[in-house]
Amino acid sequence: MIADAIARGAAVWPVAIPLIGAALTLLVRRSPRIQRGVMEGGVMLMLGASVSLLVRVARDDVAVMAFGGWGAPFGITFVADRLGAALSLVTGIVALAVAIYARADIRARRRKAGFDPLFLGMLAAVNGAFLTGDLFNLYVWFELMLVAAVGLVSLDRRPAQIDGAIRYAAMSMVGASFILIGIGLLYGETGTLDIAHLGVTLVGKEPTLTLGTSAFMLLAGFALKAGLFPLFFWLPASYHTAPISVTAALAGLLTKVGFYACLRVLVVVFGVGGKEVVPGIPPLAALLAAATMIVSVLAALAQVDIRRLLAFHIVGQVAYLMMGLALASSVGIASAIVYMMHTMLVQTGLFLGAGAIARAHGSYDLRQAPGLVRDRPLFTALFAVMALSLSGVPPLSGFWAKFVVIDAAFRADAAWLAVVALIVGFLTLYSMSTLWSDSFWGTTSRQTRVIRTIPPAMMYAMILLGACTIGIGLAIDVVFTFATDAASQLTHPMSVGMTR
Amino acid sequence: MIAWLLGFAFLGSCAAWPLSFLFGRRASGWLLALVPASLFVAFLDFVPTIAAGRAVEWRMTWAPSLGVDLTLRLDGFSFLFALLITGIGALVVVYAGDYLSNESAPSRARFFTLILLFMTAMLGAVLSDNLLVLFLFWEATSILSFLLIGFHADSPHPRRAALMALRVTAGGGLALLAAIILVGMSLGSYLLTDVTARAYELAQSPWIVPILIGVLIAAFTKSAQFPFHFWLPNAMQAPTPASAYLHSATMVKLGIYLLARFEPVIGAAPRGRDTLIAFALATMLIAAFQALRAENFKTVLAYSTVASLGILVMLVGLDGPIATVAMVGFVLAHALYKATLFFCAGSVLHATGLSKLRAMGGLVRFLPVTAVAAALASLSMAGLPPFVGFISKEFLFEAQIQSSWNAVPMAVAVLVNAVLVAVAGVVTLRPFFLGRGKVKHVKHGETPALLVGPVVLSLLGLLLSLEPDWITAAVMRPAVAAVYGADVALELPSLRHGVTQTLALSAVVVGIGALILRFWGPIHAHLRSRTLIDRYDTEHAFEAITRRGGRLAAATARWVQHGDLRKYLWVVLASGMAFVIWGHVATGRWPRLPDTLPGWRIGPAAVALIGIGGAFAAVRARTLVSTMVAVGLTGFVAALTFMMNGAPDLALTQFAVESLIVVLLTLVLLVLPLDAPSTRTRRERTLDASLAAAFSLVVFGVLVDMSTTSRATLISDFFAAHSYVSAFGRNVVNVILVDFRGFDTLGETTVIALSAILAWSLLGPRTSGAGGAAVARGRTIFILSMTSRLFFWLLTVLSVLILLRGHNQIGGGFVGGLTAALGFALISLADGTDRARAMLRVHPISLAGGGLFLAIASGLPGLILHGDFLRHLWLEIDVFGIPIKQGTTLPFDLGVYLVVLGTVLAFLFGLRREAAR
Repeated sequence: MIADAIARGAAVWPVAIPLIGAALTLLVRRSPRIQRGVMEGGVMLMLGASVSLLVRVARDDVAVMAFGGWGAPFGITFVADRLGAALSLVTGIVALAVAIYARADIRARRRKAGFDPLFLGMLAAVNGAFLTGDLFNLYVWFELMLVAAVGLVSLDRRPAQIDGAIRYAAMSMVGASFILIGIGLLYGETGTLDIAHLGVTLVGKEPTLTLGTSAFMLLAGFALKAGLFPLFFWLPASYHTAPISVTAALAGLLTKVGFYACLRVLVVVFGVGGKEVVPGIPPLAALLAAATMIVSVLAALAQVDIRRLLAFHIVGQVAYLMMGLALASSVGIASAIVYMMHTMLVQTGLFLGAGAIARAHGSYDLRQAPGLVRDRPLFTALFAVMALSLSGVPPLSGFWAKFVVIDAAFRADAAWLAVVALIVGFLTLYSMSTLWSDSFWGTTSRQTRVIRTIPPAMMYAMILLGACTIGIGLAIDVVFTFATDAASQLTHPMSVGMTR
Repeated sequence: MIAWLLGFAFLGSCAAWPLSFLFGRRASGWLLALVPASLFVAFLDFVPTIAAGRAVEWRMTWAPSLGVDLTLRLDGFSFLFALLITGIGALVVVYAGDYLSNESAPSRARFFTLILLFMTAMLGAVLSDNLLVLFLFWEATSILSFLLIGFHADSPHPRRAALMALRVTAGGGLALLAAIILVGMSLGSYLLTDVTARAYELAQSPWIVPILIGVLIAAFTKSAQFPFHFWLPNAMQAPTPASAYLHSATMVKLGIYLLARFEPVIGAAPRGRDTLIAFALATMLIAAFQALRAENFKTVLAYSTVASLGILVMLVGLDGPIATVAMVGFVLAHALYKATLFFCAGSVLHATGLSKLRAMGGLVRFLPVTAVAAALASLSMAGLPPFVGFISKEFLFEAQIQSSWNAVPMAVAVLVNAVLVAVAGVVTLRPFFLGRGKVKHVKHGETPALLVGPVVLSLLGLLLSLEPDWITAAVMRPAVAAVYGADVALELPSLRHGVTQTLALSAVVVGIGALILRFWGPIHAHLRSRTLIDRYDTEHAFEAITRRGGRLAAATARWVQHGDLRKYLWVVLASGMAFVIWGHVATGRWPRLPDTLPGWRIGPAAVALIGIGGAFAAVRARTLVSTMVAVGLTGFVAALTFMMNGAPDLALTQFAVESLIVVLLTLVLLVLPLDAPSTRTRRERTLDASLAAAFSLVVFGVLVDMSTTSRATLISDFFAAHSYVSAFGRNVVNVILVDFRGFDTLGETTVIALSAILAWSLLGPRTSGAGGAAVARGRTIFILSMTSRLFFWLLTVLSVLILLRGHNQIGGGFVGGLTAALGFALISLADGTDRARAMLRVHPISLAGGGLFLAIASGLPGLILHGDFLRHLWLEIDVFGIPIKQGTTLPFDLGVYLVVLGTVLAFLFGLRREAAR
């Protein structure tokens, strides 16, 4: 019976496990060691749950959980389709890498300040957002993400962190209000909150003012969460203040959830990529994507703090995702899905690498961190994999991600967007090569400066993520086929609705 | 088979790192050279196949969904490159073993790894038939070149040169990627063989112009053609073996390779050949000019390489079979003599530490064998018989005579070749034979490893010309056939044919070259004094663009990183507005107006008026206290609205929340200055006000629009109908919260629990809470202290009642928790936080954790029994004859209760301590 229950709850475990973990870590608050054990166990179990969910979804197309036994559209349902299950798996991998890394980075003081419950809570929220089939429930997970992230950013209680957390919270709340207004209007117009049901209800409807406002309010809210220009200020204003493990996790997960929500809602509810309910979404998305790419990469070029530099690259990478969505074709959506899986892993890896650089040199300042090639060759190679993947060098995952999205742009007659993407890709490489030249080449001129050892935990975390980006690159066929299936599942919500 | 070779090359490069440590300074070069050498021998195995005009193919599926397979193809042209790559590679590795004898062991290991990886990448590039696989290796060569140029990364010059090279070639790489994607779109295939076979079809594609631009940019950046030529002379900062290998013999010819493969397409496209030749001529002239001005040994060689690459591009551009023959011949000849000269330059550099040609002289005394090798290579470079260079030059002129072009390329070729003759003379005579006595002693002499490369290659330059049959049949002819698409009968030029046109041209070239050589000194000095070219060189433009870009980047960063939260918020809100307006324009709808206006209701109107008043008051408020009161007013109005619309639960909750906020904010206000002077200017206030007004106008319009839709009540009807029947609760709101949408509640409960941590860690004691507690106790008020106990117990009992009856009447876990928290708040205010904490016994965070755990756990029985998480189970028991229906909703609600209690207390205690500090 228990085994049966475990199997039937497949869709909920990736959320329930970290939630239980968060509750337990709150209870064992006094012992950082036990807290860590609970957190690591929770992450491992969650990853296992995501794996089994993915296996199941690959077999059955979808895994559904109707909470309280109230089926859609009356109750809340989790509808783990291919997209959600795959992203949940990637979340698990990112979480595992951060959990490993945290052994070296998060000490007892930070654990006492609540790293473990906040981290687990954030993971639950991320998985919840990926798996839920209910629009308001999605909003709840965004709220949980916000609280957890604010807590994580201000973990050390340094004034700079609190400052960053306030900026983050203030702007995120505006985004949350946008989302809430959008949801409210949509509910008022249709009387339902179930995403698939909304899609079915709206097919063929006249675009009323309410629907139009709802769509664009949701776009604004999700774009803010995703960190798109001109709504992205919160990200570079706060990410660099957090402990680096936290920054890495936030970088890998949060903005992607924002984009995911865009993708899910705009495609399934408003029919982007198929029969559009509200006109005008793809052109605006394309403008946003292009502007974000250009602004973020230029701003990144002017940074001397590695974390700020990488923070702007997060923004730029999300723009590539948005570009895939803006193409409003199933190839474009598939390319955005591939890109999302890649960028979650690589962004995390880069920030973890930045933390290791700072550990070796004692500084995040690019100008003060030379000479790692000579002294830390293995780490250098690991970081190179990440940096090259971000720059889109084959055969790493980053190359395929860029390739499919640019290819899709050309095929969707959006050559201008493809050209912008290529130029920004060049500037990304430019920025990465500067970073390389500054922090891996050169010598430690001052004899007093010692390059400290990088703890093994940090290396293991990076090895895990490096293996993933190489693995995706080599097994791109599997990933792309899967993403194509996921995209067609997304653009044909009827097939999901039927299985309920 | 060829895939095995490629795999072997890769494994060999991976093994280079440990092996070079294992075999130390002397042996590792020789030993590691076995990797390329054995590959060279293995490739020779293909001679019968290639000579018969066949190609070797190998295919493995990789990503069929993307049209990308690992398709390798060894034809005549690839074969020529494969032999050059592996053959020269072996010599380079041997040479590097001694050249790097001064370096530390890890540095040498790094060099060997990089150079062998580079060899693998080069092999991969020329063996790939799939353009995307070719691109993979193409990018790899760029990056390895970057790492090798920046090998001596201690000093800034190599770093700058490496960055420049990477930026130029990687930029070209992206152009290539764009071209490849467009080729794939046009042909539905990424195969090079398809590009060649369907060249005419490709030339008709609507994308042909961007495709050609992409291919040309890629080739021009890689092969250092104008306007991208400047990176190559700078790349001479690389260790000399790398320069010899990458920047003269192999990598820079990759661009030529690509152009040659695309030649049918370029030929079929309008003005394709003209473009190639125009850029090639510009490159040749500029490079020749700069070669005369250059001072460093390696820089002179680099510019002569650029000129030679220009010649190769020109030969690709010229039509006719002989042009292909000349191109293939020149690739071989150039690789042989230029690599030799680089080896010799490296030996000189290694021996003397000097880099300027002017400072060198008479080195034949110290480096006799090197000098001879340099002389042989120079004679070949000058195109004198009986060297390979002579043959290739004859073909070059023959191709020009036979092509349909006018005399301009011919004239330029004569001039540039003359300069190359002079360069050949200078780089041999100056350092080795002239200026005896300039160098008194050398740091390193010749060693076998340093000699193998130059000697073998320079002798080959002679032998292949004397015994041309084997190389012609096995390599050249198949290579020409592979590029040209048809077999071309080769008739080698010879002095026996008497004075032909081409021979005459050669003689003219050598004559002019000898003149330049004679007057090298004054020409060189005169040209050096002319700095105009530096100002108009594209390198200068590149630097300027880089600088401007840096300034633009800095300006962008300042623009988006000003750090003013209020401005950020304004922009964010305004953007949201802009989005909505865009949506309205795109939708093109006006608000639908209701047909009949609903009746005027005085109650709601009055309440709304109060709310609006509160909002205005909050905006106009000058102190925090008045702001708090005004905001509180809007909160109570919200609660009233809930009540009037049939949601007393929500109203109760809202009231409780508002009360608690007043308590908590009062605690905050105790430690804040009450006066908060306005920091906004008049203009900012106006802007803010107009944004707010616009936003509310839009929302109002939309709400009016929404109100006209026929009420879609599907879901709420269901809730009302099923609340008691299926969920056993009369209080619909509570049933929605714990059952219908219980999972939302669970999520929100977690939000609350996590905010407890946030409060606790942010407000918690930074050093120790003892001092604060003492102060708090000092403020105890006697009357309050006496009555607080009573109220505490009353509130506690009340909270439990609210919790229990929640499912059927007004109440529930949330309000219950808030009520209980009020009790503790009273105690805390009256007797101090310590007293309240003592009465609580449990840590507030543990309370929140336990509550959260309970709430989640209450969902598990339903999952186990019915397969639905949070499906509530019901049990009817008789208590004293009264049937009481109780279910798992109770532990769920209790969990919520505990979380709310714990969190509010975490805030409360934290704020109290914060206030007491």
